[in-house]
This record gives sequence, C-alpha cells and structure tokens, in this order.
Amino acid sequence: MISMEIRKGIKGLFKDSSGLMAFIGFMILIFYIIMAVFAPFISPYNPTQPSGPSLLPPTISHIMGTDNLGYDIFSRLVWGTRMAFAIALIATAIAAVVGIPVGLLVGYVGGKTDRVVTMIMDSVYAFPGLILAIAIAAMLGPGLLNIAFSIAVVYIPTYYRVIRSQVSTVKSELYVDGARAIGAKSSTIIGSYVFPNVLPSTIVIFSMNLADSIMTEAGLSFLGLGIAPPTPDWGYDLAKGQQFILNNDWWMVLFPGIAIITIVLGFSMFAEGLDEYFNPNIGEKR
Amino acid sequence: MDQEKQTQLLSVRNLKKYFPLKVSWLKAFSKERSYVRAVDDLSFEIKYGETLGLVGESGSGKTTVGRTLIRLESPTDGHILFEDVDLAKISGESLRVKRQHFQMIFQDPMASLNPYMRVGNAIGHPLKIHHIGNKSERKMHVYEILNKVGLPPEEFYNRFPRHLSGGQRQRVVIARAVITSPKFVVADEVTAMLDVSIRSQILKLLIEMKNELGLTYLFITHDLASAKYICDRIAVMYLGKIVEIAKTYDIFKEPLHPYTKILMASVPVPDPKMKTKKFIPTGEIPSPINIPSGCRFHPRCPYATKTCSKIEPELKDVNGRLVACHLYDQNGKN
Repeated sequence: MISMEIRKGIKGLFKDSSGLMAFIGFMILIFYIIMAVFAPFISPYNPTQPSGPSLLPPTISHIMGTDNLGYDIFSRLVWGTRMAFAIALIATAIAAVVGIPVGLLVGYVGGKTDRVVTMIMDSVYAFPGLILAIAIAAMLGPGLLNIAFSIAVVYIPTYYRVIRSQVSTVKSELYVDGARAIGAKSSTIIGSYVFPNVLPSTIVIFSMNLADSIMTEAGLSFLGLGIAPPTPDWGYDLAKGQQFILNNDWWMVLFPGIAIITIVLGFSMFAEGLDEYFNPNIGEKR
Repeated sequence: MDQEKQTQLLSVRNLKKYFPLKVSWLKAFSKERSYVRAVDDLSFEIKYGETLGLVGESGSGKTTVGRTLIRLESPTDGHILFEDVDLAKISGESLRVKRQHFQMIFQDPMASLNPYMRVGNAIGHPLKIHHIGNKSERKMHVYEILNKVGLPPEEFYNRFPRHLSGGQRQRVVIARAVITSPKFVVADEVTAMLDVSIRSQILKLLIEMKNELGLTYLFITHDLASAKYICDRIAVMYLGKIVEIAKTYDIFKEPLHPYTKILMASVPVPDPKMKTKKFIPTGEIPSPINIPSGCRFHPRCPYATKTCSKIEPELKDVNGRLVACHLYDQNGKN
C-alpha cells in the first residue's frame, strides 16, 4: 500500500513529536473539509462550464488558470474535493462494513473456516490493488457508487487481516474465558468483549484507507475509469493536463497533483498520529 | 449410601483431559498421535459447603482440572456429576444456562477483566446474561456485592479496570464470580499474583463470601500456607493424578505419600536454628507427554522400590485417608 510507504517516511521525519504530526494532518484535513463543504461559496466559477479563454496561465481572475476547454481550474479543484471525499468515504465504509464483521466472525470461529476465508482474502490482497480496481471498474462502468465499490473490494482484505489477527489474540485472553465462564453467548462475547478490544486498530486503518482510496480513485480517473466528465475530479483533470504538458501548460497538472498529494499526506499523518495515540507502545514493536 | 450422596455437591469420576500434540498432517498418518496427559483419571468428591484444596507443583495439571470442572475445556473422558447433572455430557445452551451455578476465579486479576468494561457492568454482566432481575434490581445487587467485597460502590461502579490495583481487581473478579450465588466456585491460585500483604485480605474475603452465600470451593494453589488457612480437605496432585487426599489437619500433621512429605518439607520454617533433614526432590516434574511407567513419582521418590516402576498404585484407604502409594500396601490390607 502506498500510504504505508508515506507513513514510514513521515514517521522518521517527526520521530517523537507524533502529536504535532497528527495536528498537521488534522489541519490539512480540516482545510479540505471546509473546501468541500463550502464549495459553492469558494469557487468563483461554475466548474462544468467554460469561464474564460482556454489554456490561460494563472492570472488574477483565474488564479490557477484555465484548461483546454476554458474551465476554471481552481473551481474544479474546489468541487473535486467533494468527489474525492465522497468516493473515499463510501469506499472505506463499504470495505469496513464487510471486512470488520467477517474478520470478527472468522477470527472468533477459527479452524477450517478461518483457513479458507483467509486464503481467499489473501489472494485478493496479493493482487495489485489498482489493477484489481481497474478490472472491477471496467466491468461495472463509470459512476460514483461503482467506483466506490471497486475501490472497496481492494480494501476489504486490509480490514479483514487486521481484525482477524487481533481477534485471534484477544480470543485467548483470560477475560474472554471469563465471559464464557459466566455463560455469555458467542454473540455477546464477540460484541461486548472482543469487538471493543479490536476497535482502536480499526480506526487507524480507517483513516489510512481513506488516503489509499483517494489515491486509487485518482488513479482510476486518470485512466478514464472514474466519474464521467465533466464532473470535477482531480484524477481526470490530471490526466487531461498531462496531454498538454509538452505545451508547457504546467498549471493544469501542478494544482490537481498538489491537491492529491496534500490530502493523502494529511490522511496519512493523521492516521499515524492516531496510531500512536491508540497504541502507544506500537513504536517499540516495529 | 443415599444419605452420603446427598451431601455431595460435586462428584468427579475418572476425569481425563488429554491435549493432542500438534503434528504435521504428514506425520499424523504414519505415527500415532501423542497427547499431553494433563489430567489422567481423577476421581474425587466435594461436599456441600466444603473447601477442597488442590495443591501440587506447577505443571501438575491443577488449573486444567479447574477449567475442565467448569467446562471451559471439555473432558476427554469421565464424569463430572454436579448435583444430578453430568457436566461432562451436556453442552451448548443447556450448559450455558447451567453456568450460573458454577464459577471460576482466575489466577491473574490483571487479565481476567475486560479493559473496556466498567466495573459495575462487568460485575452485573452475569445477571444480565442469565436474565436475573430488571435493570434497577441488577444495579442494586451490584451495589450490594461491591459493598460486600469492600469496594465502595459510589467510587468504583463507573471505573475501568485499568484504574484499579491488583487487589481491587481481584475483589471485582470475586464479586463477579459470586453475584449469581453459584453453588460451586473454582478459585484458581487467586492469591498467586498478589502482594503478600493483600493475600490474607483476599483469603479472608473468600471465607466471608463462603459463609455468607453458602459457597463450595475448589481452592487450587501451590501455596501450602494459604491452603492450610482456608481448606477443609486437601488433595495433592502430581502429574495429572491425585496422590493423596486427606483432611487438612491430618495432612499437615502426618503426610503419608512421599511426594506430600516432600511438598510439606519445602515449606520454609521461620526458625533459623531448626535443621531438619530435608529431601529436596531431585530434578523437574517429568513431561506429561512421556509419563513414567508404574508410579509417576518413582523417578524422584527416595523410597522407590522395584514394584514402583512397574505397577501404578491406586488411591487406597490408609487409616481413613486416601493415598496412592505402594509403601502402604500392607497397611491397606490390614
């Protein structure tokens, strides 16, 4: 996963001040969230209609310039935030809703079920994420939900693996034996004794996967498998800008690129900070 | 006979618990499976209101006995007659419902409480599971029991286990174990992980609870001093078998089985001048995978004879006590 690499890098950068790291990540996210929520007020032009001459370099009226069709890049960037968040949240939610319960159940039951399901999940996990997403997206066709679903499939195994391995440790804790001894049903044991104890790790994967799915979404849009144009979308804008790069029209690539990088960085830093917060001794293990 | 049966709460017959050793599936075809014989053919009774001590070295299978009795493990073979029900034969829902009548207090109070459950909820959970009382009644009951175990409810009800000390946690665990008024409680090395200063308080609490709620204990320990303090009878376990059962007074006054003698001799005496001839057992307890032939104790026994390595001694009545040793064969016959 890409965000893993990023996390390792930024972790080295911040070392002991993980609080600062989480704070910076959080600030970046707040910035983008405000941008997404107040898009209609922030963006100066309609992002899906030409608002000036085409291929205009950054000026005062178009602070990030315009693209080949005369769309205002800044407006598209602002509206694109919504798309990035929407797809990332939906995809991560689908992955969590499927991956967490399956991991809980399979981890708790163990035995042959565990071996079979883990094998299936591992084979999905071993598959290159973007290629799998491309395959599913190509099958389902464009559209917000379809894209979200094809990204979700890639990230279900991440949840499953983490939850399952956590459950299999928690399962042998004495308090789970204690719960059995007082006559708790398996559903009660999973719900009240196992789940709360594996929950902290899910929160961390959740924010980590948000970063990953934004990357994957941008990748899919870049390859033309994302949202149907002219809906504002960073990956699509990036792909379009790439055609004009030889023309020296650098602004078309630069700004969507910066947006993608910073939001992913924001999520990664936030995830790493959360990780430190919830598992204070995890740094020693690594 | 009938009379005698009525006074018995728990009657264990030929209880066995073997754990299969993990072997690769290729080997599993060619070789016979080997087992860890943690509990090997155990029989004993516990009367109503009695405290039976189960003592022995680590690795003798004490904890496995406790866990098997309350069916955290299913026995390989044998019967566990709990009043009229054979706990070894029931499972699923009927076992789950029955669990309110027998409880276990675990050795490690740090690990036996869910870190995400508040003290009050943890103690009240057994009531909730077995649908005893409504919400406010349950809360009342929890308050009551918190008072009984010496934790002021106002202060402790909403705390998390991580805010409690070891002794306080063990009190919470005891409260949870006795809240359903069980008939039988397995106390597995309850004091082993506690500071010496707190041990006697916890033991006192156990005795109080017993008197108040009419409990019956199986008190598992390797600490002979606390066993002497709390138990009515003591069963000495060695490598998955009981080698001697006797009243606490008798066993401390005159241990019969050589292993019991060694155990007793290992208790330090607070008198620097006293020099007794002590036989310290040589070597470690053998592996329960390859159990010695004949008497299990013969490789370490100072009195071992030829018979000991060949024939396994049965538990026999010696002067009103049960001992499994060939040394007392003649006595038994007389």
